[in-house]
Amino acid sequence: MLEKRLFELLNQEVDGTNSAKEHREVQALLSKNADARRTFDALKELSAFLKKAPQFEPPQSLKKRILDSLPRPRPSEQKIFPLFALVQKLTEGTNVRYAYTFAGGAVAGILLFAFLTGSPSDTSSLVGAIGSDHTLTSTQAIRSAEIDLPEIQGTFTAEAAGDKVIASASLNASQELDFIVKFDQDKLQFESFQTPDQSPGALTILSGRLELRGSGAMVYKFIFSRKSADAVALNADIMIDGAKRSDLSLTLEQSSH
Amino acid sequence: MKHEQDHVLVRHCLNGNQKAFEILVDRYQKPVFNLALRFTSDKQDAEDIAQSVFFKAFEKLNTFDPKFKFFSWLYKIAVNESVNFLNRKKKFDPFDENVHSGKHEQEENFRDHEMTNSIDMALLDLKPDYRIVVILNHFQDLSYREIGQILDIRENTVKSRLFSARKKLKGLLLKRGITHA
Repeated sequence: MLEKRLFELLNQEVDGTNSAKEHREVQALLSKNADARRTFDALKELSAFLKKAPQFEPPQSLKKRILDSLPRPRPSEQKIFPLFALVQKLTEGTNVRYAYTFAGGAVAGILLFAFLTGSPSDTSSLVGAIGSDHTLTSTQAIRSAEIDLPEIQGTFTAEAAGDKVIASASLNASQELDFIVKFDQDKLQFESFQTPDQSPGALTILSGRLELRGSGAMVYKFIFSRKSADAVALNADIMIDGAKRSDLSLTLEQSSH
Repeated sequence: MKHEQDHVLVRHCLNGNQKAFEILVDRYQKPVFNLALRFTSDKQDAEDIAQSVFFKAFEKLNTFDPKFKFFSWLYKIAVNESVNFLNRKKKFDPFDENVHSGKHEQEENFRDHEMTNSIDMALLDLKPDYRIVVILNHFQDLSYREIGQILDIRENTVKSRLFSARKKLKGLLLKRGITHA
């Protein structure tokens, strides 16, 4: 049986990480110790064997899946900055302060108009921070389930709006839980989620399921697009310490879109 | 932009250029997928993990320190996601013997040949701590130092785990009738 240090030296020799001095030591050892030679040959064979193992190409759909799961820029970023950019471009060569003054005035005008017309959905389509924070229009159906357990209270809601489905979880949990939303990938494509910056919880996105883990007051909105007009079901399991505490199921009827 | 260095692409991403992140996905989806595949020996699980890794990387990109290599940072996320995935799977399916026993049903068309199967099965029989150092060293070609950075352990610990893992792996392969390993 080889002592630990010699075994380490033989491994390092196979990896090519020995110093010149250690290399000489290994060579001397190999020339006089049959046990060391057998171990060294076995390590070399193992290394060569593992090297032969092929690397697999990921499925072509993986990249799209990854990119589709990334959060989209907020509506405010999409809409307000082009306005400043446009004003800047129009006023190129003049004092940039005027551009911002003009843009600021335009935004104030739009907001004032939105305020006077009292339409939150209109304002949200201009500035994400005002009014409702998603840009979807005309909800066609809403299903909702109450959660009332000793450790957790809240609601789980599913809304249909055009070709989108929005699932919202508003949870208040006194201890850590896993809130697992399951969906049929043949019918729904997960697109993005929204949560206030201060909302606790960690979200893991898997195929056909979203796993939210955390405690405290958590507010999450998950946005899906429909792949077909079929009725869709969103199921949620509430797990605490690995044990299921409750399950919820919401079904949205066929879409007319 | 396609040939830009990783840290430059990260800077572009942080400035709102999502195309730069797409290039990083192109560059690293294969090693991340393979890492997860070797760790779980399940194609679907590996896809889930890879998606989650890039999602987390995108979310936490502003915490990446350009003093370090991007791939080390990404692999760190990949290792954590793989380990968490296995723990979750074990927690939710406590009776799923396939998680660690090496009996996972293989997808015929995905496996190249018997050798790959034997390696995967033998890897699954290793403890996760040992399995990951073998994967990072032998399949991702990372040095002891890089593995130490990814796993947050000392170089000596990497060596000790790797060398013990090799000894065990050799025995496991022999048990599976692989005599040339």
